[in-house]
Amino acid sequence: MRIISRYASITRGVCNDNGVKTESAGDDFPSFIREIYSLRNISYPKFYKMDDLSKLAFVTSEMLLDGAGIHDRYANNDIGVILAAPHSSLDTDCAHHASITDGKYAPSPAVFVYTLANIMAGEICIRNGFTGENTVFAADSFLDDGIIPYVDALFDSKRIRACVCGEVDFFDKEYSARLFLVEERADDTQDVDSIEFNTDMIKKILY
Amino acid sequence: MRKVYAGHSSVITALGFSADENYSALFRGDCAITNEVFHDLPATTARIRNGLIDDAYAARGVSRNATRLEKLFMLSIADSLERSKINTKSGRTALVISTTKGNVGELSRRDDPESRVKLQDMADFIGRSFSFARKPWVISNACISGLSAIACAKELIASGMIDHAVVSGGDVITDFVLSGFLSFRAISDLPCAPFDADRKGLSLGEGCASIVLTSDRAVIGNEPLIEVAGCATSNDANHISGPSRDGSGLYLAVKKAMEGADVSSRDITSVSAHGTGTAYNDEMESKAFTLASLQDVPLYSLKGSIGHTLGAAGVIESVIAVETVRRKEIIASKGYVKCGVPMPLNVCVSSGALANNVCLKTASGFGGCNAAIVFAEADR
Repeated sequence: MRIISRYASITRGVCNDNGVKTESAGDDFPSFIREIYSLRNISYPKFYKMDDLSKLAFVTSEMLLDGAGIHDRYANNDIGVILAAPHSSLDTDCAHHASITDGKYAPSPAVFVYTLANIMAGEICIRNGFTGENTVFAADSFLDDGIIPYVDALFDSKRIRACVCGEVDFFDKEYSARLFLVEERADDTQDVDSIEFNTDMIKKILY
Repeated sequence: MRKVYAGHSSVITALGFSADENYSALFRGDCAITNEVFHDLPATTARIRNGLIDDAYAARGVSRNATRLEKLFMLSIADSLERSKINTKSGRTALVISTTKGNVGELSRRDDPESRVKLQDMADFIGRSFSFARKPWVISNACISGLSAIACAKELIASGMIDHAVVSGGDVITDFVLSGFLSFRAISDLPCAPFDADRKGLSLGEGCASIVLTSDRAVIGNEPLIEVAGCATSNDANHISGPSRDGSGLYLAVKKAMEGADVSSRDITSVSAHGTGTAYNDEMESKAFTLASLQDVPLYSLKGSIGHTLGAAGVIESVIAVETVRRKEIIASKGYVKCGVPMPLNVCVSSGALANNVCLKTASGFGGCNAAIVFAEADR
Protein backbone atom coordinates (compact mmCIF):
# COMPACT_ATOMS: atom_id res chain seq x y z
CA MET A 1 0.00 0.00 0.00
CA ARG A 2 1.17 3.53 -0.79
CA ILE A 3 0.69 5.92 2.10
CA ILE A 4 1.12 9.55 3.05
CA SER A 5 3.49 9.21 6.00
CA ARG A 6 3.77 12.94 6.80
CA TYR A 7 2.33 16.22 5.62
CA ALA A 8 2.81 19.93 6.14
CA SER A 9 1.30 23.09 4.77
CA ILE A 10 1.65 26.84 4.91
CA THR A 11 -1.32 28.91 3.81
CA ARG A 12 -2.03 32.55 4.58
CA GLY A 13 -0.65 32.97 8.10
CA VAL A 14 -1.30 29.35 9.12
CA CYS A 15 1.20 26.50 9.45
CA ASN A 16 -0.01 22.92 9.61
CA ASP A 17 2.69 20.52 10.77
CA ASN A 18 1.26 16.99 10.50
CA GLY A 19 -2.11 18.12 11.81
CA VAL A 20 -0.82 20.55 14.46
CA LYS A 21 -1.82 24.06 13.44
CA THR A 22 -0.15 27.28 14.48
CA GLU A 23 -1.25 30.72 13.42
CA SER A 24 0.80 33.81 12.99
CA ALA A 25 -0.23 37.44 13.07
CA GLY A 26 2.33 38.36 10.42
CA ASP A 27 0.36 38.92 7.28
CA ASP A 28 3.09 40.07 4.96
CA PHE A 29 4.88 37.11 3.47
CA PRO A 30 8.55 38.12 3.91
CA SER A 31 8.25 38.61 7.68
CA PHE A 32 5.91 35.64 8.09
CA ILE A 33 8.25 33.20 6.36
CA ARG A 34 11.28 34.56 8.28
CA GLU A 35 9.32 34.07 11.50
CA ILE A 36 8.70 30.38 10.75
CA TYR A 37 12.32 29.99 9.63
CA SER A 38 13.50 31.32 13.03
CA LEU A 39 10.90 29.51 15.12
CA ARG A 40 11.94 26.19 13.65
CA ASN A 41 15.63 26.93 14.22
CA ILE A 42 16.47 26.38 10.57
CA SER A 43 20.00 27.39 9.74
CA TYR A 44 20.56 27.51 5.99
CA PRO A 45 22.12 30.70 4.58
CA LYS A 46 20.95 29.87 1.01
CA PHE A 47 17.41 30.61 2.25
CA TYR A 48 18.09 34.36 2.12
CA LYS A 49 18.97 34.22 -1.59
CA MET A 50 15.77 32.41 -2.60
CA ASP A 51 12.76 34.04 -4.23
CA ASP A 52 9.43 33.89 -2.40
CA LEU A 53 8.20 30.75 -4.17
CA SER A 54 11.35 28.83 -3.27
CA LYS A 55 11.34 30.19 0.31
CA LEU A 56 7.79 28.93 0.70
CA ALA A 57 8.58 25.52 -0.79
CA PHE A 58 11.80 25.22 1.19
CA VAL A 59 10.37 26.07 4.63
CA THR A 60 7.35 23.79 4.08
CA SER A 61 9.70 20.98 3.06
CA GLU A 62 11.72 21.54 6.25
CA MET A 63 8.54 21.12 8.29
CA LEU A 64 7.71 18.00 6.29
CA LEU A 65 11.09 16.31 6.53
CA ASP A 66 12.40 17.40 9.94
CA GLY A 67 12.64 14.22 12.00
CA ALA A 68 11.27 12.05 9.17
CA GLY A 69 14.45 9.96 9.17
CA ILE A 70 14.13 9.65 5.42
CA HIS A 71 17.85 9.10 4.90
CA ASP A 72 17.76 6.09 7.25
CA ARG A 73 15.28 4.32 5.03
CA TYR A 74 16.09 5.32 1.44
CA ALA A 75 19.03 5.98 -0.83
CA ASN A 76 19.10 9.55 -2.20
CA ASN A 77 18.50 8.39 -5.76
CA ASP A 78 15.31 6.57 -4.70
CA ILE A 79 13.70 9.78 -3.42
CA GLY A 80 11.68 11.81 -5.92
CA VAL A 81 10.26 15.34 -5.87
CA ILE A 82 7.06 15.79 -7.92
CA LEU A 83 5.32 19.15 -7.55
CA ALA A 84 2.56 21.25 -9.01
CA ALA A 85 3.13 24.99 -9.38
CA PRO A 86 -0.18 26.66 -10.29
CA HIS A 87 1.32 30.06 -11.13
CA SER A 88 4.70 28.62 -12.03
CA SER A 89 7.34 31.32 -11.41
CA LEU A 90 5.03 34.14 -12.53
CA ASP A 91 5.66 36.28 -9.44
CA THR A 92 9.42 36.40 -10.02
CA ASP A 93 8.80 36.65 -13.78
CA CYS A 94 7.16 40.00 -13.03
CA ALA A 95 10.25 41.10 -11.07
CA HIS A 96 12.60 40.23 -13.95
CA HIS A 97 10.20 41.82 -16.43
CA ALA A 98 10.16 45.05 -14.38
CA SER A 99 13.95 45.17 -14.47
CA ILE A 100 13.98 45.39 -18.29
CA THR A 101 10.93 47.55 -19.10
CA ASP A 102 9.85 51.18 -18.88
CA GLY A 103 13.24 52.47 -19.93
CA LYS A 104 15.16 50.33 -17.47
CA TYR A 105 17.70 47.68 -18.40
CA ALA A 106 19.16 46.03 -15.32
CA PRO A 107 18.51 42.28 -15.53
CA SER A 108 19.97 40.33 -12.63
CA PRO A 109 21.09 36.71 -12.87
CA ALA A 110 20.13 36.26 -9.19
CA VAL A 111 16.52 37.08 -10.12
CA PHE A 112 16.47 35.46 -13.57
CA VAL A 113 17.50 32.03 -12.26
CA TYR A 114 14.28 31.90 -10.23
CA THR A 115 12.09 32.48 -13.32
CA LEU A 116 11.67 28.72 -13.62
CA ALA A 117 9.14 26.80 -11.54
CA ASN A 118 11.40 23.80 -11.00
CA ILE A 119 14.08 25.77 -9.15
CA MET A 120 12.14 25.18 -5.92
CA ALA A 121 12.38 21.42 -6.52
CA GLY A 122 16.12 21.89 -7.07
CA GLU A 123 16.39 23.80 -3.76
CA ILE A 124 14.68 20.93 -1.89
CA CYS A 125 16.99 18.41 -3.61
CA ILE A 126 20.11 20.43 -2.78
CA ARG A 127 19.14 20.85 0.88
CA ASN A 128 18.39 17.15 1.33
CA GLY A 129 20.72 15.52 -1.19
CA PHE A 130 17.83 13.98 -3.13
CA THR A 131 18.93 12.87 -6.61
CA GLY A 132 15.86 10.91 -7.78
CA GLU A 133 13.08 11.71 -10.24
CA ASN A 134 11.96 15.35 -10.31
CA THR A 135 9.17 16.92 -12.31
CA VAL A 136 7.21 20.15 -11.93
CA PHE A 137 3.76 20.43 -13.47
CA ALA A 138 2.39 23.94 -14.04
CA ALA A 139 -1.02 22.51 -13.09
CA ASP A 140 -3.77 24.38 -11.24
CA SER A 141 -3.58 21.72 -8.52
CA PHE A 142 -1.65 18.58 -7.61
CA LEU A 143 -5.02 16.84 -7.84
CA ASP A 144 -5.30 17.67 -11.56
CA ASP A 145 -5.55 14.90 -14.13
CA GLY A 146 -2.44 12.80 -14.56
CA ILE A 147 -0.18 13.82 -11.68
CA ILE A 148 -1.12 11.24 -9.02
CA PRO A 149 -1.14 8.44 -11.65
CA TYR A 150 2.33 9.60 -12.76
CA VAL A 151 3.65 9.34 -9.18
CA ASP A 152 2.04 5.89 -8.92
CA ALA A 153 3.64 4.83 -12.21
CA LEU A 154 7.09 5.93 -10.95
CA PHE A 155 6.59 3.82 -7.80
CA ASP A 156 5.28 0.88 -9.86
CA SER A 157 8.36 0.90 -12.09
CA LYS A 158 10.60 1.10 -8.96
CA ARG A 159 12.12 4.37 -10.18
CA ILE A 160 11.28 5.91 -6.79
CA ARG A 161 10.69 4.42 -3.34
CA ALA A 162 9.70 7.64 -1.59
CA CYS A 163 8.46 10.95 -2.98
CA VAL A 164 8.01 14.52 -1.78
CA CYS A 165 4.74 15.56 -3.41
CA GLY A 166 2.38 18.52 -3.38
CA GLU A 167 1.75 21.97 -4.73
CA VAL A 168 3.37 25.30 -4.06
CA ASP A 169 1.85 28.53 -5.27
CA PHE A 170 2.94 32.14 -4.95
CA PHE A 171 1.57 35.03 -6.95
CA ASP A 172 0.85 38.66 -6.19
CA LYS A 173 1.03 38.27 -2.37
CA GLU A 174 -1.27 35.22 -2.36
CA TYR A 175 0.43 31.98 -1.38
CA SER A 176 -0.08 28.41 -0.29
CA ALA A 177 2.09 25.33 0.01
CA ARG A 178 0.83 21.80 0.66
CA LEU A 179 3.44 19.06 0.76
CA PHE A 180 3.35 15.42 1.75
CA LEU A 181 5.66 12.44 1.81
CA VAL A 182 4.56 9.31 -0.02
CA GLU A 183 6.07 5.96 0.93
CA GLU A 184 5.39 2.30 0.32
CA ARG A 185 4.17 0.19 3.25
CA ALA A 186 3.98 -3.59 3.31
CA ASP A 187 0.36 -4.65 2.81
CA ASP A 188 0.33 -6.65 6.07
CA THR A 189 1.07 -3.54 8.14
CA GLN A 190 -2.16 -3.03 10.08
CA ASP A 191 -1.68 0.60 11.01
CA VAL A 192 -5.12 2.11 11.57
CA ASP A 193 -3.72 5.63 11.33
CA SER A 194 -2.11 5.25 7.95
CA ILE A 195 -3.36 7.65 5.31
CA GLU A 196 -3.68 6.08 1.90
CA PHE A 197 -2.16 8.00 -1.03
CA ASN A 198 -5.19 9.02 -3.09
CA THR A 199 -7.13 12.12 -4.07
CA ASP A 200 -9.73 11.85 -1.32
CA MET A 201 -7.20 11.55 1.49
CA ILE A 202 -5.09 14.43 0.14
CA LYS A 203 -8.21 16.59 0.06
CA LYS A 204 -9.10 15.58 3.59
CA ILE A 205 -5.78 16.38 5.23
CA LEU A 206 -4.54 19.34 3.22
CA TYR A 207 -7.43 21.25 1.62
CA MET B 1 3.54 -2.78 -18.80
CA ARG B 2 2.54 -1.93 -22.36
CA LYS B 3 5.08 -0.87 -24.95
CA VAL B 4 4.95 2.74 -26.16
CA TYR B 5 5.80 3.73 -29.72
CA ALA B 6 6.81 7.01 -31.37
CA GLY B 7 4.32 8.07 -34.02
CA HIS B 8 3.87 11.02 -36.38
CA SER B 9 5.72 14.18 -35.56
CA SER B 10 6.18 17.76 -36.58
CA VAL B 11 9.01 20.26 -36.11
CA ILE B 12 9.06 24.02 -36.59
CA THR B 13 12.33 25.89 -36.20
CA ALA B 14 14.21 28.65 -38.00
CA LEU B 15 15.24 25.90 -40.44
CA GLY B 16 11.74 24.98 -41.59
CA PHE B 17 8.11 24.18 -40.91
CA SER B 18 7.97 20.39 -41.01
CA ALA B 19 9.86 17.44 -39.54
CA ASP B 20 11.12 16.48 -43.03
CA GLU B 21 12.31 19.98 -43.87
CA ASN B 22 14.14 20.23 -40.55
CA TYR B 23 15.65 16.78 -40.84
CA SER B 24 17.03 17.48 -44.32
CA ALA B 25 18.46 20.85 -43.28
CA LEU B 26 20.07 19.39 -40.16
CA PHE B 27 21.48 16.46 -42.15
CA ARG B 28 22.98 18.92 -44.68
CA GLY B 29 24.55 20.90 -41.84
CA ASP B 30 22.58 24.11 -42.32
CA CYS B 31 22.86 26.73 -39.59
CA ALA B 32 20.03 29.16 -38.80
CA ILE B 33 21.94 31.09 -36.15
CA THR B 34 22.65 34.77 -36.85
CA ASN B 35 24.28 37.64 -34.98
CA GLU B 36 22.36 40.42 -33.35
CA VAL B 37 22.92 43.18 -30.83
CA PHE B 38 20.63 43.51 -27.84
CA HIS B 39 21.05 46.51 -25.53
CA ASP B 40 24.58 47.00 -26.90
CA LEU B 41 25.46 43.39 -26.16
CA PRO B 42 26.44 40.95 -28.92
CA ALA B 43 24.25 37.86 -29.08
CA THR B 44 23.45 34.95 -31.39
CA THR B 45 19.94 33.69 -32.05
CA ALA B 46 18.03 31.47 -34.46
CA ARG B 47 14.72 33.28 -34.95
CA ILE B 48 11.75 32.19 -37.05
CA ARG B 49 10.60 35.01 -39.35
CA ASN B 50 7.29 36.40 -38.09
CA GLY B 51 5.81 36.56 -41.59
CA LEU B 52 6.37 32.84 -42.03
CA ILE B 53 4.43 32.02 -38.85
CA ASP B 54 1.55 34.33 -39.73
CA ASP B 55 1.36 33.03 -43.32
CA ALA B 56 1.32 29.40 -42.21
CA TYR B 57 -1.26 30.17 -39.53
CA ALA B 58 -3.47 32.08 -41.96
CA ALA B 59 -3.18 29.26 -44.51
CA ARG B 60 -4.77 26.96 -41.95
CA GLY B 61 -7.83 29.17 -42.07
CA VAL B 62 -7.84 29.66 -38.32
CA SER B 63 -9.05 33.07 -37.32
CA ARG B 64 -8.71 32.88 -33.54
CA ASN B 65 -6.47 35.39 -31.91
CA ALA B 66 -3.39 33.62 -30.70
CA THR B 67 0.04 34.65 -29.48
CA ARG B 68 3.12 33.90 -31.55
CA LEU B 69 3.92 30.86 -29.42
CA GLU B 70 0.34 29.60 -29.49
CA LYS B 71 0.38 29.80 -33.29
CA LEU B 72 3.48 27.60 -33.33
CA PHE B 73 1.82 25.09 -30.99
CA MET B 74 -1.36 25.00 -33.10
CA LEU B 75 0.53 24.57 -36.38
CA SER B 76 2.73 21.84 -34.96
CA ILE B 77 -0.05 19.90 -33.20
CA ALA B 78 -2.31 20.12 -36.26
CA ASP B 79 0.49 18.76 -38.44
CA SER B 80 1.19 15.77 -36.21
CA LEU B 81 -2.50 15.01 -35.64
CA GLU B 82 -3.50 15.19 -39.29
CA ARG B 83 -1.55 12.09 -40.20
CA SER B 84 -2.22 10.15 -37.00
CA LYS B 85 -5.96 9.57 -37.03
CA ILE B 86 -6.18 9.53 -33.24
CA ASN B 87 -9.30 10.79 -31.56
CA THR B 88 -8.63 13.83 -29.37
CA LYS B 89 -12.21 13.77 -28.11
CA SER B 90 -11.61 10.41 -26.46
CA GLY B 91 -10.57 10.28 -22.82
CA ARG B 92 -7.94 7.76 -23.94
CA THR B 93 -5.87 10.56 -25.54
CA ALA B 94 -3.88 13.20 -23.65
CA LEU B 95 -2.18 16.43 -24.66
CA VAL B 96 1.09 17.07 -22.85
CA ILE B 97 2.58 20.55 -23.23
CA SER B 98 6.21 21.36 -22.49
CA THR B 99 7.34 24.95 -22.13
CA THR B 100 9.65 26.95 -19.91
CA LYS B 101 8.17 30.41 -20.35
CA GLY B 102 4.94 30.10 -22.36
CA ASN B 103 3.43 33.51 -23.09
CA VAL B 104 5.90 35.44 -20.93
CA GLY B 105 6.24 37.92 -23.80
CA GLU B 106 2.70 39.06 -22.97
CA LEU B 107 3.57 40.03 -19.37
CA SER B 108 3.00 43.74 -20.03
CA ARG B 109 -0.70 42.99 -20.57
CA ARG B 110 -0.99 40.26 -17.94
CA ASP B 111 -4.29 41.61 -16.57
CA ASP B 112 -5.93 40.85 -19.93
CA PRO B 113 -7.33 37.29 -19.73
CA GLU B 114 -6.40 36.86 -23.41
CA SER B 115 -2.70 37.16 -22.50
CA ARG B 116 -2.73 33.65 -20.99
CA VAL B 117 0.57 34.19 -19.16
CA LYS B 118 -0.37 31.40 -16.76
CA LEU B 119 0.99 28.25 -18.41
CA GLN B 120 -2.08 26.11 -17.71
CA ASP B 121 -4.31 28.80 -19.27
CA MET B 122 -2.26 28.68 -22.47
CA ALA B 123 -2.37 24.88 -22.50
CA ASP B 124 -6.15 24.85 -21.93
CA PHE B 125 -6.59 27.28 -24.83
CA ILE B 126 -4.56 25.05 -27.14
CA GLY B 127 -6.30 21.90 -25.90
CA ARG B 128 -9.74 23.42 -26.56
CA SER B 129 -8.74 24.31 -30.12
CA PHE B 130 -8.27 20.63 -30.86
CA SER B 131 -11.21 19.45 -28.71
CA PHE B 132 -9.08 17.39 -26.36
CA ALA B 133 -11.45 15.82 -23.83
CA ARG B 134 -8.82 15.72 -21.08
CA LYS B 135 -7.36 18.81 -19.45
CA PRO B 136 -3.87 19.20 -20.93
CA TRP B 137 -0.86 18.43 -18.74
CA VAL B 138 1.81 21.14 -18.65
CA ILE B 139 5.36 20.41 -17.65
CA SER B 140 7.74 23.26 -16.92
CA ASN B 141 11.01 21.79 -15.83
CA ALA B 142 13.62 24.14 -17.31
CA CYS B 143 15.62 22.74 -20.22
CA ILE B 144 14.60 19.12 -19.62
CA SER B 145 10.87 19.98 -19.98
CA GLY B 146 10.52 18.28 -23.36
CA LEU B 147 12.04 15.02 -22.19
CA SER B 148 10.05 15.19 -18.94
CA ALA B 149 6.86 15.54 -20.99
CA ILE B 150 7.72 12.53 -23.16
CA ALA B 151 8.64 10.53 -20.03
CA CYS B 152 5.35 11.42 -18.34
CA ALA B 153 3.28 10.48 -21.40
CA LYS B 154 5.23 7.26 -21.83
CA GLU B 155 4.62 6.15 -18.22
CA LEU B 156 0.88 6.84 -18.38
CA ILE B 157 0.45 5.03 -21.70
CA ALA B 158 2.53 2.10 -20.42
CA SER B 159 0.43 1.91 -17.25
CA GLY B 160 -2.76 1.75 -19.32
CA MET B 161 -4.31 5.01 -18.10
CA ILE B 162 -4.33 6.40 -21.65
CA ASP B 163 -3.63 4.92 -25.10
CA HIS B 164 -2.23 7.92 -26.98
CA ALA B 165 -0.61 11.24 -26.20
CA VAL B 166 0.37 14.24 -28.26
CA VAL B 167 3.49 15.66 -26.65
CA SER B 168 4.20 19.19 -27.80
CA GLY B 169 7.07 21.43 -26.70
CA GLY B 170 7.48 25.08 -27.55
CA ASP B 171 9.25 28.29 -26.55
CA VAL B 172 9.97 31.56 -28.35
CA ILE B 173 12.78 34.08 -28.03
CA THR B 174 11.65 37.07 -25.98
CA ASP B 175 13.45 40.08 -24.52
CA PHE B 176 12.70 38.40 -21.18
CA VAL B 177 14.72 35.28 -21.94
CA LEU B 178 17.45 36.97 -24.00
CA SER B 179 18.15 39.58 -21.30
CA GLY B 180 18.26 36.84 -18.66
CA PHE B 181 20.75 34.63 -20.47
CA LEU B 182 22.83 37.70 -21.36
CA SER B 183 22.92 38.67 -17.67
CA PHE B 184 24.35 35.22 -17.00
CA ARG B 185 27.00 35.89 -19.70
CA ALA B 186 25.92 32.56 -21.17
CA ILE B 187 25.34 33.75 -24.76
CA SER B 188 28.03 33.31 -27.39
CA ASP B 189 28.82 36.11 -29.86
CA LEU B 190 29.44 33.43 -32.51
CA PRO B 191 27.09 30.57 -33.45
CA CYS B 192 27.38 28.08 -30.57
CA ALA B 193 29.88 25.25 -31.00
CA PRO B 194 28.95 22.37 -28.70
CA PHE B 195 31.90 20.35 -27.31
CA ASP B 196 34.37 22.42 -29.37
CA ALA B 197 37.60 23.81 -27.94
CA ASP B 198 36.65 27.37 -28.97
CA ARG B 199 33.07 27.33 -27.72
CA LYS B 200 31.95 30.56 -26.07
CA GLY B 201 28.46 29.86 -24.84
CA LEU B 202 25.00 29.14 -26.17
CA SER B 203 22.89 30.57 -28.98
CA LEU B 204 19.19 31.01 -28.28
CA GLY B 205 16.71 29.38 -30.59
CA GLU B 206 12.96 29.09 -30.83
CA GLY B 207 10.55 26.53 -32.15
CA CYS B 208 7.95 23.93 -31.48
CA ALA B 209 7.73 20.20 -32.06
CA SER B 210 5.06 17.60 -31.49
CA ILE B 211 5.15 13.84 -31.41
CA VAL B 212 2.37 11.33 -31.07
CA LEU B 213 3.08 8.51 -28.62
CA THR B 214 0.87 5.46 -28.68
CA SER B 215 0.48 1.87 -27.54
CA ASP B 216 -1.34 1.07 -30.78
CA ARG B 217 0.92 -0.04 -33.63
CA ALA B 218 -1.85 0.63 -36.13
CA VAL B 219 -1.58 4.37 -35.47
CA ILE B 220 2.00 4.39 -36.77
CA GLY B 221 1.15 2.99 -40.21
CA ASN B 222 3.94 1.51 -42.29
CA GLU B 223 6.81 3.46 -40.75
CA PRO B 224 9.57 1.47 -39.02
CA LEU B 225 8.46 1.00 -35.43
CA ILE B 226 10.47 2.91 -32.81
CA GLU B 227 9.87 2.32 -29.13
CA VAL B 228 10.19 4.82 -26.27
CA ALA B 229 12.03 2.14 -24.37
CA GLY B 230 13.24 3.79 -21.17
CA CYS B 231 13.07 7.18 -19.45
CA ALA B 232 14.46 8.71 -16.29
CA THR B 233 15.08 12.07 -14.66
CA SER B 234 17.50 12.92 -11.88
CA ASN B 235 18.72 15.88 -9.87
CA ASP B 236 22.34 16.91 -9.22
CA ALA B 237 21.43 18.14 -5.71
CA ASN B 238 24.37 20.47 -6.18
CA HIS B 239 23.62 23.97 -7.54
CA ILE B 240 20.58 25.75 -9.00
CA SER B 241 22.32 27.43 -11.94
CA GLY B 242 25.45 25.37 -12.58
CA PRO B 243 25.71 21.72 -13.62
CA SER B 244 27.44 19.25 -11.33
CA ARG B 245 31.19 19.28 -11.93
CA ASP B 246 31.50 15.50 -12.02
CA GLY B 247 28.58 14.50 -14.27
CA SER B 248 27.20 12.13 -11.63
CA GLY B 249 23.63 13.51 -11.82
CA LEU B 250 23.27 13.05 -15.57
CA TYR B 251 25.00 9.67 -15.31
CA LEU B 252 22.31 8.56 -12.87
CA ALA B 253 19.50 9.46 -15.30
CA VAL B 254 21.34 7.72 -18.18
CA LYS B 255 21.88 4.59 -16.09
CA LYS B 256 18.23 4.43 -15.01
CA ALA B 257 16.92 5.05 -18.55
CA MET B 258 19.14 2.27 -19.90
CA GLU B 259 17.97 -0.07 -17.12
CA GLY B 260 14.34 0.77 -17.93
CA ALA B 261 14.97 0.01 -21.61
CA ASP B 262 16.86 -3.15 -20.67
CA VAL B 263 19.90 -2.11 -22.71
CA SER B 264 23.56 -1.65 -21.77
CA SER B 265 26.04 0.95 -23.03
CA ARG B 266 27.19 -1.60 -25.64
CA ASP B 267 23.72 -1.51 -27.21
CA ILE B 268 23.60 2.28 -27.64
CA THR B 269 24.41 3.19 -31.25
CA SER B 270 24.08 7.01 -31.06
CA VAL B 271 23.78 9.77 -28.48
CA SER B 272 21.79 12.95 -29.07
CA ALA B 273 23.37 15.10 -26.37
CA HIS B 274 22.14 18.31 -24.74
CA GLY B 275 25.34 20.09 -25.91
CA THR B 276 24.53 23.75 -25.31
CA GLY B 277 27.99 25.08 -26.05
CA THR B 278 28.57 26.54 -22.59
CA ALA B 279 31.87 25.62 -20.96
CA TYR B 280 30.43 23.89 -17.91
CA ASN B 281 27.52 22.03 -19.51
CA ASP B 282 29.58 20.36 -22.21
CA GLU B 283 32.34 19.53 -19.73
CA MET B 284 29.81 17.91 -17.38
CA GLU B 285 28.29 15.87 -20.22
CA SER B 286 31.69 14.55 -21.28
CA LYS B 287 32.18 13.22 -17.73
CA ALA B 288 28.70 11.73 -17.49
CA PHE B 289 28.96 9.90 -20.84
CA THR B 290 32.38 8.59 -19.88
CA LEU B 291 31.00 7.33 -16.54
CA ALA B 292 28.32 5.53 -18.57
CA SER B 293 30.98 4.02 -20.92
CA LEU B 294 29.47 5.89 -23.88
CA GLN B 295 32.58 7.90 -24.81
CA ASP B 296 33.10 5.99 -28.06
CA VAL B 297 29.50 6.09 -29.25
CA PRO B 298 28.81 8.58 -32.11
CA LEU B 299 27.36 11.69 -30.47
CA TYR B 300 25.96 15.01 -31.68
CA SER B 301 24.13 18.13 -30.56
CA LEU B 302 21.63 19.94 -32.80
CA LYS B 303 22.12 23.29 -31.06
CA GLY B 304 24.90 24.42 -33.42
CA SER B 305 22.21 24.54 -36.15
CA ILE B 306 19.06 25.75 -34.39
CA GLY B 307 20.28 27.11 -31.07
CA HIS B 308 18.90 26.23 -27.66
CA THR B 309 15.12 26.14 -27.98
CA LEU B 310 14.54 25.63 -24.21
CA GLY B 311 11.17 23.92 -23.57
CA ALA B 312 10.99 22.85 -27.22
CA ALA B 313 14.50 21.38 -27.32
CA GLY B 314 13.71 17.99 -25.76
CA VAL B 315 10.84 17.35 -28.16
CA ILE B 316 12.59 18.69 -31.30
CA GLU B 317 15.71 16.67 -30.55
CA SER B 318 13.68 13.54 -29.74
CA VAL B 319 11.77 13.77 -33.03
CA ILE B 320 15.05 14.02 -34.93
CA ALA B 321 16.64 11.24 -32.84
CA VAL B 322 13.71 8.92 -33.64
CA GLU B 323 14.06 9.82 -37.30
CA THR B 324 17.78 8.96 -37.33
CA VAL B 325 16.93 5.50 -35.97
CA ARG B 326 14.18 5.08 -38.61
CA ARG B 327 16.48 6.15 -41.44
CA LYS B 328 19.60 4.41 -40.07
CA GLU B 329 21.58 7.64 -40.15
CA ILE B 330 23.42 10.06 -37.90
CA ILE B 331 23.67 13.84 -38.04
CA ALA B 332 26.91 15.81 -37.78
CA SER B 333 27.31 18.04 -34.73
CA LYS B 334 27.35 21.51 -36.31
CA GLY B 335 30.08 23.81 -35.09
CA TYR B 336 32.36 21.10 -33.75
CA VAL B 337 35.94 21.09 -34.96
CA LYS B 338 38.31 20.21 -32.14
CA CYS B 339 37.70 18.48 -28.81
CA GLY B 340 37.23 20.97 -26.01
CA VAL B 341 35.99 18.79 -23.18
CA PRO B 342 38.11 17.06 -20.52
CA MET B 343 36.89 13.56 -21.39
CA PRO B 344 37.11 13.02 -25.17
CA LEU B 345 33.85 12.04 -26.88
CA ASN B 346 33.18 10.60 -30.33
CA VAL B 347 31.54 13.78 -31.68
CA CYS B 348 30.12 13.17 -35.14
CA VAL B 349 31.66 15.42 -37.83
CA SER B 350 29.86 14.21 -40.95
CA SER B 351 26.25 13.17 -41.47
CA GLY B 352 25.75 9.79 -43.05
CA ALA B 353 24.59 6.21 -42.79
CA LEU B 354 24.93 4.39 -39.46
CA ALA B 355 23.70 1.07 -38.11
CA ASN B 356 21.64 3.12 -35.70
CA ASN B 357 19.02 1.16 -33.77
CA VAL B 358 19.25 2.42 -30.18
CA CYS B 359 19.59 6.16 -29.53
CA LEU B 360 20.10 7.80 -26.15
CA LYS B 361 18.71 11.35 -25.85
CA THR B 362 19.70 13.47 -22.86
CA ALA B 363 19.12 16.95 -21.43
CA SER B 364 20.15 18.93 -18.37
CA GLY B 365 18.93 22.22 -16.99
CA PHE B 366 18.75 24.89 -14.33
CA GLY B 367 17.61 23.56 -10.99
CA GLY B 368 20.14 20.72 -11.38
CA CYS B 369 17.74 18.55 -13.38
CA ASN B 370 18.77 15.89 -15.89
CA ALA B 371 16.77 13.59 -18.15
CA ALA B 372 17.54 10.64 -20.40
CA ILE B 373 15.40 8.67 -22.84
CA VAL B 374 16.26 5.57 -24.86
CA PHE B 375 14.60 5.32 -28.29
CA ALA B 376 15.01 1.85 -29.75
CA GLU B 377 13.98 0.01 -32.87
CA ALA B 378 11.10 -2.24 -31.81
CA ASP B 379 11.40 -6.01 -32.27
CA ARG B 380 15.14 -5.62 -32.88
